[in-house]
Amino acid sequence: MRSRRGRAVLAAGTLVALGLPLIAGKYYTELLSQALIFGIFAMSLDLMWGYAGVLNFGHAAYFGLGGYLVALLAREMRSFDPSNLGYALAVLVPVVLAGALGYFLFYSHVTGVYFTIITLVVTMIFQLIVSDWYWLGGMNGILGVPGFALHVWPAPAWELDSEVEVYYALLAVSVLCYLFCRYVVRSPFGLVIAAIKDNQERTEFFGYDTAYLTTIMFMISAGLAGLSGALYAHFSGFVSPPLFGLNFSTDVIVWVAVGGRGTLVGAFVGAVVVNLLKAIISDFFEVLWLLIVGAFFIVTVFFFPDGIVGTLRKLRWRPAPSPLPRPASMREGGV
Amino acid sequence: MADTMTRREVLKNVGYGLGAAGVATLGHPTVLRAATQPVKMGILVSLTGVHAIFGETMLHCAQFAQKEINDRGGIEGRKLEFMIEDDETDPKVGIEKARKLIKRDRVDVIVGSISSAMRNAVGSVTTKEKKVYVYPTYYEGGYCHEGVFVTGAIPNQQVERFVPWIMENAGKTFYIAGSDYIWPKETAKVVRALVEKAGGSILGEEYFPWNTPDYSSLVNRIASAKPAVMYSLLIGSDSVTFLKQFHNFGLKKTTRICTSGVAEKEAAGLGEAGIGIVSSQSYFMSIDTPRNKEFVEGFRRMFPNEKLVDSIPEGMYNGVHVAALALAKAGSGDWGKLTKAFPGIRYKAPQGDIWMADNRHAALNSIIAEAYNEKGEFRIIKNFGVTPPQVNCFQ
Amino acid sequence: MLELGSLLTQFLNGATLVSVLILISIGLAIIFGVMGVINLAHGEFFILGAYTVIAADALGLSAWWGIALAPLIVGLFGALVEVGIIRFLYKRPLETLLATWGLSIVIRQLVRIVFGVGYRASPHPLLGDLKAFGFTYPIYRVFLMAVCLAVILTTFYVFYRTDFGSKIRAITQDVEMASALAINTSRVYLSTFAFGSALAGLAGALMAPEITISPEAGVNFLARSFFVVILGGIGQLAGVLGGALVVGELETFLSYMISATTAQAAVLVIAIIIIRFRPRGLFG
Repeated sequence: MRSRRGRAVLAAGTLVALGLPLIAGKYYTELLSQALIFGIFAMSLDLMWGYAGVLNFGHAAYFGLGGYLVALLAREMRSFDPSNLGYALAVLVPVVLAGALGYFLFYSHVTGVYFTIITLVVTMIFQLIVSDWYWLGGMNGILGVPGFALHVWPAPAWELDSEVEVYYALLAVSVLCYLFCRYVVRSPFGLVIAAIKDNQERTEFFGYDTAYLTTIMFMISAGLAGLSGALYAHFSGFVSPPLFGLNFSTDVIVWVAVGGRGTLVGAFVGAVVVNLLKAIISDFFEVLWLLIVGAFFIVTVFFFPDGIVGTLRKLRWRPAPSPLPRPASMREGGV
Repeated sequence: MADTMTRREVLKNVGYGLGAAGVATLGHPTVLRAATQPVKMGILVSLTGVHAIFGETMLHCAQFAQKEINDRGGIEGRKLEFMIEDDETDPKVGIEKARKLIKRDRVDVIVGSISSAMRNAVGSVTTKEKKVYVYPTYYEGGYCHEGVFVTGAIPNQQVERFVPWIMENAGKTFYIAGSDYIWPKETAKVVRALVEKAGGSILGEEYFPWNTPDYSSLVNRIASAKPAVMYSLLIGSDSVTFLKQFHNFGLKKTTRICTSGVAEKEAAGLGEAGIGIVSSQSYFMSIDTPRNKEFVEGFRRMFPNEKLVDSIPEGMYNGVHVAALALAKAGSGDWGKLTKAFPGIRYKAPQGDIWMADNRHAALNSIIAEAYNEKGEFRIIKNFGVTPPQVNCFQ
Repeated sequence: MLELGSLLTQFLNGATLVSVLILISIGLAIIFGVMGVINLAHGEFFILGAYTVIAADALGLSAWWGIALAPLIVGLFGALVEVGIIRFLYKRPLETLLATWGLSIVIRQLVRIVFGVGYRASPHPLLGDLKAFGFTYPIYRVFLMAVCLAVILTTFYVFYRTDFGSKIRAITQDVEMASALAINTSRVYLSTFAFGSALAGLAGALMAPEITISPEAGVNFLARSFFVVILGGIGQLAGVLGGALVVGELETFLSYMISATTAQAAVLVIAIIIIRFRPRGLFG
């Protein structure tokens, strides 16, 4: 980060992030931990949407997959603690699924809004199957997922018992995920992806296999989402079909939109702001809070058109390089 | 100048950080709580989302119970205070709010929840944190976790007396349809066993995913099968949609609708399509006893906009009272004492006398009623009195 | 079980479902096709139509008044939404998504405040059966199919035979060129959005006797209508028909033979395959 303002904000932010649990109390620390998990999830969507320019309307499917894999493993394997295996599967299976979908779709030039709707349909299928299948818990979900435990072989497992421990562990994971995403986005691969977002045809003419590259990004996005799902399963101890649902998929889209698409940090900010806002407003208005939140979304569109982080960046820092004109509507393949 | 700008910026940003921390601190319990020691109960219901239909009335019934308790001097002289939270009909949120009630608000008991998924979600938190949880909604039975007490009916209470009555009064051939999850399936098992034992037959059994907008194929199959009884185990808006369409196809003339998933609120959504539906619940608003009249009138006085109370909000009302009695008996919110205090608690509920059995479920009434107008009001056909809960723990 | 009467009933059931899907989706298709706007509040416009019938009943009017007034009231509401919100977001589909989602939440809560959170019902306007050759079928469902047909014909007429329609088609093809030809694009957009909303409201009012009416009921129909529109092909009116046919008849037909859950999942999978092989939709 080159600007002094930027470094100052980073310093202040780090201070706040590290110090918060010491003053916030158990519940708020836990709330922030959850916001971090959702932030990772939102970031994974931002990779596809903000950077690859493709909207995934069923992103919750990968989150749910990750969560359920962990829950199923925990239920079926009681003799040895499977949490490392759980994380591995929670990342791998969504990656494979995304790869298959990408192969099926991107390679046939199904992009833009058609891709979006198919992802919507995929998530609906998952929710249907999981709700119906008793072995997967059905509508009642799966209970009894153990909490977080760090396994560094050959040392014995260190269980994270308190909210504060969980928070710091998740903070570390979030930072690592963020750095990973930043690396991906700034790597040569990321630059080509940005080029694809701007103009897919032109990038093809340069000799890049856009379908392949978009699929790779999709797989990364899905894997990260699966990871966040696995984290959530350990965090909450319980998984149920709404984790796959349309509502949750829409929620994460809203977080990224509110925070600022294409900024990575914005995804985190959006997840934190929206969830915190809901928690605080519902404290004061037990029934009307949802009306206020809905109005807030509408207002955000007018006052923070690029999301909170996007708008702040435009106002405070040097203006971002002017973006190339986007296609006018989703109909033509871009959102 | 550049330096002053940077320092000012840094101070501003640190200020933001401290401000946020300040806001978080304000929420900290020690600052908010007053000096007197009320008894704190967490009320966790769906105030938004698909189940808000029941959640709102559940909250009001709980608040009515709270008023009655406090008017009589509270719990052993201590005022009963509610911490109200909305679970948004989303188990994710249920977990978050349960943790909030326990960790931030320090409640002694949580009362609420409608769906089994929500109960599982909230129960996983309360069992881990060692807090008592009272679940007031009828469900599939089999949930046996320490510290979770149920004031809602389970299949044997809803069905055991109902099916013989149906077979005597409506017919011996059944068609079963339900929503695709565990409560309808478990209830259907019990129904099937009773029907076949008495020499009847099940002509068909089908399950539908949530939010199916069109049931005409099901109606068509029922019309072909010509059963005497259509036992509906659909839930909520699905049951209303199905029963409307069933009525619109004119099948009510040949087949009687019997259900344990429809009560006043669904019947109100059916209007004239609801007339003639026979339902089995542990409570109906039209129960003709002084106790119930006292309940309904008092409730309506406190909440004039509430027109209908059915078994779920009544279960909530009972849950609050039973919890209050248990808290008084235990003398404290201590987990060990409180969990031992629940079994044996007797309460004079609007439905009649109920008591908590040793298996953490409640002995509740089995009542059959028929909807007789388009406002969703039921007329009691038969009240079989209290049926003890038979629980096989499988969850 | 496969006797002729039952088979015919099943076919008519499918046809009714198709008609319903068309009614619900056509408004969305028009708005999406012409303006490129994804209206996440479309389900709420639909349910507002049903609530118009409830309101009419509460005022002592018959359900037919509700059905007649619904397109006017919901259309007017749509016009207000267009002027107040959508207008500012023409070239910003992301923002439209967020704004219409926020709007759908706001509408749901407002409906709840006004009408209460419980299920509502109103008297059925047309109960009874149509009888022919010993075969009976509910007359209201036949009525629904007739209305659907009328709506399709009217919409096609408006789009392909009127001046207004040619303006819409011009804008759909190339909005800059159209405005260079002195077509008042904002007025056309306003009318289009209002028209699409009015159709959604009409669909809701017509469906009121057949579905559950509650503030949350709108969301169910949103996913299905998107589905139909995409399957059929965006920007093609005929596409909505095709999409509705596939989704409606397929689901009805399959659910007659296998469990409903499997049937719904199968329809979804088939839809994915169709979109994959005909990416512009069946008629795109």
